[in-house]
Amino acid sequence: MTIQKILTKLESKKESLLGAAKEINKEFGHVSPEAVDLLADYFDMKPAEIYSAVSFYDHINVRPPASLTIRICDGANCSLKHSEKIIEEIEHFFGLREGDDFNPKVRIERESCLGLCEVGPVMIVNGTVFERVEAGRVGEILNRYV
Amino acid sequence: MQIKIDGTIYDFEKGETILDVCRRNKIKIPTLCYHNDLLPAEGVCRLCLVKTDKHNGLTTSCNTKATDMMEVITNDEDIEKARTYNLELLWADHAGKCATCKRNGNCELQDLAEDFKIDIKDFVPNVEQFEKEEQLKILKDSLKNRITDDGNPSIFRDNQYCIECRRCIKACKQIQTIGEYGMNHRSIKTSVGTACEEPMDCILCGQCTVYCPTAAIVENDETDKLERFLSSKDKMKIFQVAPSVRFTFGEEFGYEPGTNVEKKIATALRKLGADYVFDTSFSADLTIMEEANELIERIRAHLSGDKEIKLPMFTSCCPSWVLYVEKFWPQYLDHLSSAKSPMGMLGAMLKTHFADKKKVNRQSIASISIMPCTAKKFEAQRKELGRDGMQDTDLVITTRELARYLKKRNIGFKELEDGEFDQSLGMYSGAGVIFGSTGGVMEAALRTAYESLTCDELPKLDFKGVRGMDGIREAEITIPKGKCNLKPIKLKVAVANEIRNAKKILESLEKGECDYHFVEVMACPGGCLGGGGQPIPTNAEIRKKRMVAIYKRDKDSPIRKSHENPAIKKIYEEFLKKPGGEMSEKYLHTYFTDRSKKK
Amino acid sequence: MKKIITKDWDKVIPADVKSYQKNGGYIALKKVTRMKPIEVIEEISQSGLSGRGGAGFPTGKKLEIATKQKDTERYFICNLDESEPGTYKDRMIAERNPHSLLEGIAIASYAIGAKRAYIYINGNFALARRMLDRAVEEAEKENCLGKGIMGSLFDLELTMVSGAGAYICGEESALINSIEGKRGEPRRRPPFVCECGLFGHPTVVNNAETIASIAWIIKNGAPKYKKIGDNFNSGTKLFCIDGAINSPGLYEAPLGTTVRELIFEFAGGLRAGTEYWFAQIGGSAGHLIPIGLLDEGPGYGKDVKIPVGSGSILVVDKSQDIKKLMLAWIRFFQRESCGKCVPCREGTFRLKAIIERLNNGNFDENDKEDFHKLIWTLDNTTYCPLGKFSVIALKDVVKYKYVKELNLSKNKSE
Repeated sequence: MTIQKILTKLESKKESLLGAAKEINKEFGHVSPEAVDLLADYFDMKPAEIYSAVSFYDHINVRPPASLTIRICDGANCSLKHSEKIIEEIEHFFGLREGDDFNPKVRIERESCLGLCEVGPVMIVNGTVFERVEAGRVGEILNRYV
Repeated sequence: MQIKIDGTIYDFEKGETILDVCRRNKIKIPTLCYHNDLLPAEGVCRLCLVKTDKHNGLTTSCNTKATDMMEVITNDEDIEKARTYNLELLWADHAGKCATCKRNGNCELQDLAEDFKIDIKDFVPNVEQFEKEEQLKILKDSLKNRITDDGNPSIFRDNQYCIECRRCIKACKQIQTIGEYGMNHRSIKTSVGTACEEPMDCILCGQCTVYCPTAAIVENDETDKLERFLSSKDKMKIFQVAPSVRFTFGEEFGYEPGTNVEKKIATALRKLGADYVFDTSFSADLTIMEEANELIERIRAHLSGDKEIKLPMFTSCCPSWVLYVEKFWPQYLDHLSSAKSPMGMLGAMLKTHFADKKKVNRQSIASISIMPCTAKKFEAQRKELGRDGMQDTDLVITTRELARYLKKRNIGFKELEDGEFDQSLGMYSGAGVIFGSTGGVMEAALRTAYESLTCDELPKLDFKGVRGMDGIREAEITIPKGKCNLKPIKLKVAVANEIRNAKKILESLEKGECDYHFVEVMACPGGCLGGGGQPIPTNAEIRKKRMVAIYKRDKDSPIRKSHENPAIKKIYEEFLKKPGGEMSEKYLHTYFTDRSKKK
Repeated sequence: MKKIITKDWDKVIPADVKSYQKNGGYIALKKVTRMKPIEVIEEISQSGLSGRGGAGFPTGKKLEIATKQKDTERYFICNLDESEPGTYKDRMIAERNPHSLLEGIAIASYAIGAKRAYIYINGNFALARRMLDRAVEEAEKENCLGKGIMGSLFDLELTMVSGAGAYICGEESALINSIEGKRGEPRRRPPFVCECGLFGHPTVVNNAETIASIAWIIKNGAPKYKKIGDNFNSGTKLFCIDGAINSPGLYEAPLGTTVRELIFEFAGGLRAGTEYWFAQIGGSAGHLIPIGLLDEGPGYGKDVKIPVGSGSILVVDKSQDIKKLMLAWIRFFQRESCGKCVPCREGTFRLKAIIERLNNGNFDENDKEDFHKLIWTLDNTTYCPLGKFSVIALKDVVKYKYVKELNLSKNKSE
């Protein structure tokens, strides 16, 4: 799938822009400078407007993502269920701080509440949701990915 | 209609904001994101907060319309608190950067911090109380998002000074329609930037540097290079000063806008070590000779049915306008006059005719231009504006940079005695000096073209129709038969300033609805007098004062037509022979390049 | 117990239009297409239905303002961006009974004369999105959406737009910017979005839960709806209850139901071995409910003691560390600040740093002063309500003196 193909599926109406950017992000992992230019052309906007918009949203990367991205819900509900402990475990596992982006392989991110409070705390590894995570199980889950 | 502000009743007109009424009546309200050239105001800095009887709590005065019988309080404990705390928050990000800052002493944030006695301790962690690791993390956090951009010769950006007021974004988008900047990312990482944080790729007009309240976007400062030139003993240092600079430079030293300080500039430059001080107004006259001639030839060819010759002819003195056509409308490159800009022409004369006359080696000439413009820095580097691997202009220094350098050298500008420019390439007509204003090139060209076409003396020198500040001004000039006995021509001309207006003309051309013969475009508001390298602040009132001074200088000139300037006559006799001739083509004309992305 | 929104959840097959119709679905829509739009608005106004997103603005009034605009190109938007921490009611509606949303959207669109409607759905809600997509497809087949709905002259084109991860897009003007392919930053008001919204046209944005009640109101009549609830608010409300309770989950209860009833009767009471400290109602932007307010019924408007907000309830017991909770709140608001105005962008960042210091023991007098300064600044000077929201709970922490380091000395000048 090329960027052009993704775009031709969509009408060049402004309300399709966010969807197009998400689709590109899904396909290529991020919205590259080339993609920004193509989006700008397609939606008849300035590249700066496109970048300004896409860089606003959490679900769109403007840089190539790490090969392993671990997101942990740190909403108040999960926090009461000790999500902080889980974050510590993960940080310890990789020897990496949450939010650091210098490691091209792994990235640990806090995630705003996903509304999965009933089954919290939740941790998402490369898109797969793990529910009711216990600190003791973190290593076991992560070992499946490294 | 009436509004009550702090107990006093004021009249106001429909559409005015609370801030408008306050400013008009000298009621002080601090602002950062507001600029009256860039309306409507965003209201993001939260400093202009006031209370009214129509709103709960605090509201922004910059974008709240005044309504009849509204009661406003502009200062009480809450308002003072709101302003102070928000300034403290901005200042916390800024603390300790002033000493080495380019805008030190002319920074809106710094001024407000002084007014409100902002204490830098607030919100900034107290170093002693932290563990080392934590300090490092804080440092890293604040540096992680720092972006600098020195990828072009004109403008330098460093977002550590950015206060996210968005004025640059608006200036770029609203005035110039370029839209080079956007607000990128979110929350604390929010900052102004280009698409994908790539180096700027715009028309380099520098309006963003003029509207930036801090030093996040500044002209590419080359005063170091200036110093190197000045201190090199084996260089012949030749300066040229652009027409508009003399009417604005004084503002940097406390003169009223529009004060003509050309004589002091001449002295200042000599004090710095200039061997010659020439005047770009002289070469503006030269540009008129060539451009008027080109216009006449184009019109003649066009009337005789030559389809290759394009009309309207566009002026090409403004480097941002030229870049705009090259980058966004390359199909109209043929419409640009091939005449070099005044800076380009004088540079070429210095390194050829003048060097030969003085029997100096071209290499040993340092050709330095004092310009109102950031894009001139780019123009000077165009390879077509040089010969034998050497540029005709070695360095372009903006009005602001020269002022900064004089201050650094402790040269008391106000106390300087009057001096004179060197006359050989420094004598200018009134037509040359009005180049500094929008409409000036047009008027100057019309004076010369008229007389050239009719062989008669122009009965009235002032072309009022092309003067003023309106975005686009049109005029129709009937050129009679005259002594030359040519067919009378109705010349349709237009003058545009700011790219948003030029764009309209290009769009009408695209639609085939443009029937002008000649169009002058200046990218900056008001033309060079509002240039991207000019003193800060700017606004319509200041630009008006500068403009009035320029036209007054023209009125007071003994010679007001380019072709009557004796120095011009002389250089054609001695060297160039005739406008549009072989020598002129070689030294005074240039070509343009398609720089569009889709090329 | 009176149920409206969740009434049929166990009966209907989600997204199956036949199943929805079998349970009385789309009858209201049919009825509406035979009514005058003004009558529809009148009915909704009479019912006392108010916005369930948190602000509680009367729904009928909102629709009415849009119809008063000269511009006849109008839009209706269903706000399904639900991202208030601890809240998942709207997602559940979409997953369990998506047609109830579609029917409500169609009715409201008819009422304001909109030919285009949008659902702006949180980008995380994959299942809900699938359900809605299928429901739209099936509804179009049954002529409940699309051209000439149910044999009338009413056309409605419904477009789904998925968000891309930004809390602020739940704010209606930010949501509109997001649909327009811009940064999800709130817009300046006036003009209000009912006057000038999506692409510059009058637009009504309603929360999904609000919309899910509309069909019921039309079918059963406003008086019946108004009878549910208390003196202040009519109708039912969805509550997501979580924390130190036995049965966390989603419950529907009439407005006016007390917090005590919600916790002890609906959610199974406190978990064994825990002692009630306070509950937070309305997500991270919600107020704290100390034990003394347990017998109040949360609701909307100036007169209620407990603003209900989004309706989520987090029960916090005495074993919890409130400083950690404060950090969770501020981290959320700091990350989700759109960055547009100074106090929110810079203030939430500095406040987070201060609360981090509060957590790791480095908090000093200077921090305390700054803490209170920032609370005030966020509460009073931000561009949009997010600033205010970010300090509601923190203000309550100070008010109820839950953290001694933050207590103001009795005499400030001392």
